Amino acid sequence: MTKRNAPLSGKALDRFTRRTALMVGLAQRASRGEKGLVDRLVTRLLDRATRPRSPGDDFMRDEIVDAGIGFSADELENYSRGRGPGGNGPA
Amino acid sequence: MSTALEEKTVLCASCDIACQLRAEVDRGRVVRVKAHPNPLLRDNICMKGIYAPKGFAHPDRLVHPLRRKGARGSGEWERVSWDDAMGEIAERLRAVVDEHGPEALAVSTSQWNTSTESGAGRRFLNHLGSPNWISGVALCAGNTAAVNRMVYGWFPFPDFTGTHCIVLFGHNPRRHSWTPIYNGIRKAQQRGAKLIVLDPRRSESAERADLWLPLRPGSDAAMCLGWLNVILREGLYDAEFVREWTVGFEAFADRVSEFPLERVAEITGCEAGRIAEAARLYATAGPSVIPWTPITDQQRNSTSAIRLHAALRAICGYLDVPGGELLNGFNPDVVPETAIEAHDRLPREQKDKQLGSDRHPVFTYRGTAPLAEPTKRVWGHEYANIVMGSYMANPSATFRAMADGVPYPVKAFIVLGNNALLSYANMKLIHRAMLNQDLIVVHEHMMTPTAQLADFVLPGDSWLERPHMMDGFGWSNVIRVSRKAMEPPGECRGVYEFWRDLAHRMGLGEAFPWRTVEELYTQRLRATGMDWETFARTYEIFLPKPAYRKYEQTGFATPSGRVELSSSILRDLGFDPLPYWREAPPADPRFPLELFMGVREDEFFQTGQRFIPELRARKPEPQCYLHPADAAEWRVSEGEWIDVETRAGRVRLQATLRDDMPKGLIRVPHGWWKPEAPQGEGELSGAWAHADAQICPDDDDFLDREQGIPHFKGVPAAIHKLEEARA
Ligand code: SF4
Repeated sequence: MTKRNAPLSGKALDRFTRRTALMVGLAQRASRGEKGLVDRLVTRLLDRATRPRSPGDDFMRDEIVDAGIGFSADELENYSRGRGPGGNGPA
Repeated sequence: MSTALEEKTVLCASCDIACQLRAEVDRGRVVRVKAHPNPLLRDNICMKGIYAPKGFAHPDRLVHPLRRKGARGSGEWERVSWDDAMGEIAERLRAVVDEHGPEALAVSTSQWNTSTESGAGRRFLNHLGSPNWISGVALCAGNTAAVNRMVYGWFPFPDFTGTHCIVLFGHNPRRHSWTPIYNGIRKAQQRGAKLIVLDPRRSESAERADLWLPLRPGSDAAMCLGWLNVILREGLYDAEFVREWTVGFEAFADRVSEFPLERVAEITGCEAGRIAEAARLYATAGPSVIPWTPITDQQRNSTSAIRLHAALRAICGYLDVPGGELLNGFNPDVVPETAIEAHDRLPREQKDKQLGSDRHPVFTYRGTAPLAEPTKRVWGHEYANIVMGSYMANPSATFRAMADGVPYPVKAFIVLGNNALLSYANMKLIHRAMLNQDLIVVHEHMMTPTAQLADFVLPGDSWLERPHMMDGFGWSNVIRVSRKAMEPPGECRGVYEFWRDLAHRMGLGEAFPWRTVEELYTQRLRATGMDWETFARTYEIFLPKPAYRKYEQTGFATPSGRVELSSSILRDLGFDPLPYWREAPPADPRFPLELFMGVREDEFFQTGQRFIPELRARKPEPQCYLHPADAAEWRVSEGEWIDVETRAGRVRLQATLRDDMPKGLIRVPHGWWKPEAPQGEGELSGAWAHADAQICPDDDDFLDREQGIPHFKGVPAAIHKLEEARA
């Protein structure tokens, strides 16, 4: 008969929960709006731990996202007044 | 020398995923939206988020309130002040309520974009006395949440971080659609998790899957019955969990035994051996997940299929365990949005009037009433409006009441951030319903086809222009923060201000003591000891402590306190308490093909974004996909315009030949209109030509019985070349 890989329970689950609580604490620190020294250190640590090992593993790379697309305030202002490319509002 | 621009944390509402992002602000304008630097959120951004600043700067954006001048849909408007608009709206709404009762007001929202309202809309309706709130979530996640609650009392959240196997029922998260889910799935695969994809089409996810089962569209329930047959027969379930924590197992097992693999193979079109292989993999891999999928949401057997997903999770022991499906409950430190909605204020006799609850009660007050006490016992609140999906009126029944006054008239319709005309099945009915209203108010960014039929069009703010506190649609218990990154243009306002203003004018001001949405957030945060400003400065993400197998202390939030494999709620409502399989109506020779509707394109969310030039340039026309062999048979070539017809109507689409499509199936994109096309009755900006809502039937053959939501996956259809269409 095929064997099931059972979910965690009992003491193993308690240990896992404690470990996860620690991770959540670290994630919480990395998510602080205004970061103190410890928060910044934790963020750096998490950043290292979660970076893809090699560029080939980085499935989130994407030409639109990586192009850093943005606009200038003047460009958007002109566009909203119908003077930019694609604008068809009143000039 | 260039100086660094100010950055604000924001939550994107350009789709329903709510990525946490950063907005760069220059001279009071957001000039760039980028991924958040938090390592846990890395790269979670798509093109819709990136181009949002351009979209919100569109020259045609609505920035002043407008009042209709000519006939409804004439396209003649006059500019009015907010004060005049709101004064007249209140007066006309009062007249409708006086004549027909408060239930004569219906509200439709998408809950995204212009409509992150912190429960204010429901609060207004509940204090006024109307139960008639509808949303696209009736067809997408909200209904799934309601059905899941019937089985084990909450809508589980998949734990991608530790899962061993992911099962995608037709769902196809991509780099630019459902981005964080795509990220989570691919990371899990890199860790070694298996991926099973069930999709008629060889989708991108199918290409990466360990196992791909190309099932017939709409056959999800039968597939699950086949899996369960294997799992029960081979003893691959968690017998202890089943014994301790479920009810109705024997009857359930009997029902499952009616679906031997040969029968399931015949219904689904998949090989019996592959079905068994997938079932074994799911049941034995270790904690696995079946993430929510919009595909199972929209089928004739949707309620049964969603319950069968739930049953699989339960009997394999994957509920509320690491790597499985987490039952999160509310964040203990923050008042949930559901509590702000004040469902307890709506009297029982008004709840009983909720449209559609007589025939299709699952996500209505009537269907969810038996969950009130168990929800309070386990999760601390009587109401749990997860993904806004548990206390809705049925959309089709609501539009019938609006159009025909049956069972009672609905004469006022308020629509927020929602292109209602294109967002539900049977557009002709919705159109007729809208033409029969005394008052239509639309709160929007752009002059959508729905707005074109309104009496008042009010300019809405955007997610870059308001603060927001997000509780994961009541689904996850993680609280996230969005700061106001720029001022809204012109006279654009948020939905909270709209509801508060209307409440005060309608004599319901006491229900809205908070002058601003920030004051409301402060009230919701009181247990943290912080006001909104302090909280938002301190936390960008506010995480609760992890806890698993909570049901061992509390039981499940169902009437029996256990997982209800045989549903006491459905039984008491007069339905089959066990999941079942219902065949399609007999084939109609006029419609030999099948449609797969409701397909999301990367560039657009639902009916939005088609006015953003960069996104539109990538997808200028509504394209339907078909197999080259079908194209040859129907003499259609690449790029040719064709009419696609069902028994509900026709739409015009551009043929795109794709060999990843199975033969006989056509995929139709969702929500097309052309913002540049002529407005007003006649064309409605291309909606009459292209919107798929016209070909979605909503008669009984195509409605799921328990929820009354339409079947979009496998609708009989035909295609016509244009010369035939014109003849
Ligand atoms: S997936 Fe894209 S549109 Fe959706 S929330 Fe994320 S960035 Fe915004």
